[in-house]
Amino acid sequence: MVQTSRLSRRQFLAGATALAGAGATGLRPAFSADAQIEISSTWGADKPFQKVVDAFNDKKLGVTVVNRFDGDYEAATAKAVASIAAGRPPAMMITGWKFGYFAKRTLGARDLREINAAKAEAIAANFNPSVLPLVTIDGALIGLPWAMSTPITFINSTLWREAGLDPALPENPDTDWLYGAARQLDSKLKDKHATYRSALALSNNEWTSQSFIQNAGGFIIDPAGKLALNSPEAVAGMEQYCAPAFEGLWLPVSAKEQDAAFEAGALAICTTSSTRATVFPFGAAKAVTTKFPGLPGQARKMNSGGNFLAVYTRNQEQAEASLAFLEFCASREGQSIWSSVGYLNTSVHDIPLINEFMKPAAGQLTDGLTAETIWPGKRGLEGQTIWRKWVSRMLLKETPVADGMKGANDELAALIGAG
Amino acid sequence: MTARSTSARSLALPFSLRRAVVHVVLLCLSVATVFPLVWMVTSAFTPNELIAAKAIRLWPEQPTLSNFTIAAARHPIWMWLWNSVLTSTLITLGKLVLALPAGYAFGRMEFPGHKFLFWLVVATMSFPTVLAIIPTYIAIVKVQAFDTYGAMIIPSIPYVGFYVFYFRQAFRSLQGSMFEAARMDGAGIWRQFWEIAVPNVVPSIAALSVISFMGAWNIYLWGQLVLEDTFKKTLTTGIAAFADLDGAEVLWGPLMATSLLSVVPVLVLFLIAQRFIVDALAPGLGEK
Amino acid sequence: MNGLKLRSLTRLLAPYLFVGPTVLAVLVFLYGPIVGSAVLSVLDWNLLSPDINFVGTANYKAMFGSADFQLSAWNTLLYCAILIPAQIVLPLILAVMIHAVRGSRMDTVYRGMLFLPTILAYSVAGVAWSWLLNPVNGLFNEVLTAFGFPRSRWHTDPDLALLCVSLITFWKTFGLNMLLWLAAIANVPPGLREASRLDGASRWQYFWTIELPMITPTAFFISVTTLFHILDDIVGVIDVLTHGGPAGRSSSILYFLWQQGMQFFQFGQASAVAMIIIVVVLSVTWMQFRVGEKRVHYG
Repeated sequence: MVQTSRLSRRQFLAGATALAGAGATGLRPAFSADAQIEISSTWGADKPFQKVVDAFNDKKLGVTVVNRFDGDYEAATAKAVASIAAGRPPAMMITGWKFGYFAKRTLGARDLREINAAKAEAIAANFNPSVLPLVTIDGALIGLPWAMSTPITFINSTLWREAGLDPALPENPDTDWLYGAARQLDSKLKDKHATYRSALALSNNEWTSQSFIQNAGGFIIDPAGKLALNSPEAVAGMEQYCAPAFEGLWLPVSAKEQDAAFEAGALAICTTSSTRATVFPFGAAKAVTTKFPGLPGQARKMNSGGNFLAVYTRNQEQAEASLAFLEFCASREGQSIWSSVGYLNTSVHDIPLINEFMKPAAGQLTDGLTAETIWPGKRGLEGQTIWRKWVSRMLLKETPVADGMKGANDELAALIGAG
Repeated sequence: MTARSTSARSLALPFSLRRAVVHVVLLCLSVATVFPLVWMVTSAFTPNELIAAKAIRLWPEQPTLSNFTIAAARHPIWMWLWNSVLTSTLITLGKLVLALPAGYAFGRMEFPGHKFLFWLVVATMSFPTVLAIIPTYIAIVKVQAFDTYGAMIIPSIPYVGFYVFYFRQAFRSLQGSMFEAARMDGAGIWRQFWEIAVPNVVPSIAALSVISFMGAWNIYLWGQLVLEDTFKKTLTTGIAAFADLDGAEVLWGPLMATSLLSVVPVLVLFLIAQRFIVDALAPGLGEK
Repeated sequence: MNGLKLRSLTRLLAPYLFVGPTVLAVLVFLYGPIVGSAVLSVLDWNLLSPDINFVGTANYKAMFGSADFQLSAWNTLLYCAILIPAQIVLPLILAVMIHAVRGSRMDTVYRGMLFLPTILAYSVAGVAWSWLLNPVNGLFNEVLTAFGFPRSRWHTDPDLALLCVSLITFWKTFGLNMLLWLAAIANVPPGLREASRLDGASRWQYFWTIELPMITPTAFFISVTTLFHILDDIVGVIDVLTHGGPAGRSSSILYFLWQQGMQFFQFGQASAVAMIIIVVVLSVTWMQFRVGEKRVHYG
């Protein structure tokens, strides 16, 4: 009943408005498919993920995939909780790595091997073995390592030139070089330029701060699984991270405001997700890219963030159908379509870079990347928010860095200790 | 005019000048109030590629309607518009169906428990909606109503404290003699309510309907939570779809075009009804 | 005989049939969740897990001991201290001014423009304001520097975030109170103004001695509804502008509840917060009605 009314509404819509390719999922006639599976995703019908879905559906393998946009990770998770509690989980869902434990232990993401061991191994074989631990929780392979991005440095080439800086960027930049350039930008352009307003933004998010801590030789959670924010190395990393903010070179703002300022030519340097390489170089800022800054004299150990595609349905036929889609996603064809979004190639397939601006990101992947922190425990969902809160406090000088790291360590320890 | 500006205020400004000052102040304040929306309106008509290049734009450089077509091609915005109209209308109707008879009974009938029940209902005026969200969300999930129009509409209706309070005042301010006459003619309780009382408070009903409609139109948090299917979303919840995970690709132009679309219907409704609203609110609020 | 009995029975029952649906609806949908929250607040449960544990007052203890809870409760007091007077007085001043120019064609225009933000979705308001306030290159900073003032961090400054949320909440919601005041003022019989003028009273004396007392029922009404509406409205603004940040400095207690419940699925702790809020809300409402009843002889 529900199904038919939904279909008729979509058909009505198809007639009423010329939806072109956008509503492709909605307009597909139901009879072409034996099984219909729904994916709760963080991307709308206008994003490359939809192209992957459409390409799969066009193969007419007896499985029709419907991509349903459910908001950001937090919003999609809230909806998943509701639909799982209502007894009709989405067949598949896209979830951030940071929610890995929550997905396995609370939402009940399925072990792909338990659905079909042979197929699961075949799918996993398409990926770089180094990324598989990210989707292995409690010994179970809970999904496909789908999207992976890493922060890189974007520079407004016009402002850079006007400040008299060398257009030849180092391959492995460090903070001395980056902060020095930021100072020169400020002294040359501040209050003298029509659009220039601020030198630098490192992004106030959990990936970049984690990179700094790691580059200083510290950990957020050490290899033994213990919180290590209190260590002198971690404190030193955070001090380096906060330094440009204390110096007035960096005005910490939200990601959207940061992007808007960069695209308007108000911000000269911005370190943020490599996915921006599909946008920034082609806008008014004419961005050029290089790797994320390391710390002078220290080994580089960069960080990444991303999400995975997991299966939640309890129905075996639906689960098998989901594997069929995952197989396509893992294939060379699926990965090629997907790469246009600006995520890193985590597969073993040889896929050309979408543009030269992605080179630093690919380089960082070759150098080796760590994963964003997957906060353990049943209250792991809160970990990220708490860490961000303390990062904000330190950046805004609400608390000295050493005290802030101790405060964060204590609060997070209590959270993780809760089980 | 001359009769008005007499003796006692020889030192005060002349009447017309004072009026002019008030006009200037009000005009400045009105412009300041709508100013934050100028960017939305100009961006809605500026080609998407040009928007990010400038922080401030008072006029679109190359006016275009392309943002609307882009938005419609990517998201079912016309369906969202229809859903907004549908849910807001049903919520408003539901509130009227509950509040009109209750307001009438509280205003014009004596019965045991009158006072207690009145305060029981009116005290809910002070309940923030966020308070009920968790238990209601759990209940919606447990009765399998998740992702239905009903989940959006039904829990939004019972916030009628304001409406009951207001209708009670409106019904109380009606002349008792009208009802006397009707009773003489043998009109029953229902007919007194439906044929005498309700037609006499139509302006109040209209005013509250507009207020309710505007409130329901902008329900955001709850809609985000219980509506899942793209085709069931309303405009205000659907707008969030423009700002998805890959923030770099925020389509400012289509986003602003859809935002504008979400404002225009309620604005038109308000402009049509505004004089009416003020006139109608007055008797309901006056002390009886 | 029988018909008469039936008739008096209907007369007896009619009021209850009239108020019944409403009473039932508020009991189920508004008072019911209070009972539900009370039950949830002593449990440890996340909706999905099969084991539901009784934890007694642990959730309450955890919340009272949480620095974030304390900060958001304190912020809520600050919000109330700023917004309640502003939401009552400023719309009154606007209404008096609009009333003063009634009859001219412009009063409709003023009302329409001043009311515009009230009909806006929060998502739209959030986008509009973050462009104005952008600390790097937003319009507000451009204007400040043009006049030689230093730049401000606006909503990303821990000391200003709460004021920015207040400003936007005010902007977004003053329209309704303005309309209510306008309605009340319009209801004051015009003859009184003429009479007071003949007595030699100034415009201000007239306002204080005649107009204001005449509109006290509205004042009471507005004070009751304003307090709790703004609590909801603040959540909307925080959600689109600051997410409670920086470092929790703009969070409010209802936003804290929303985060605990719908982002972290700590239903037990979130419900404990809800119960604390409910107790405060009901006692404040009760006090308001007590005071209001004495002053304006309502009810």
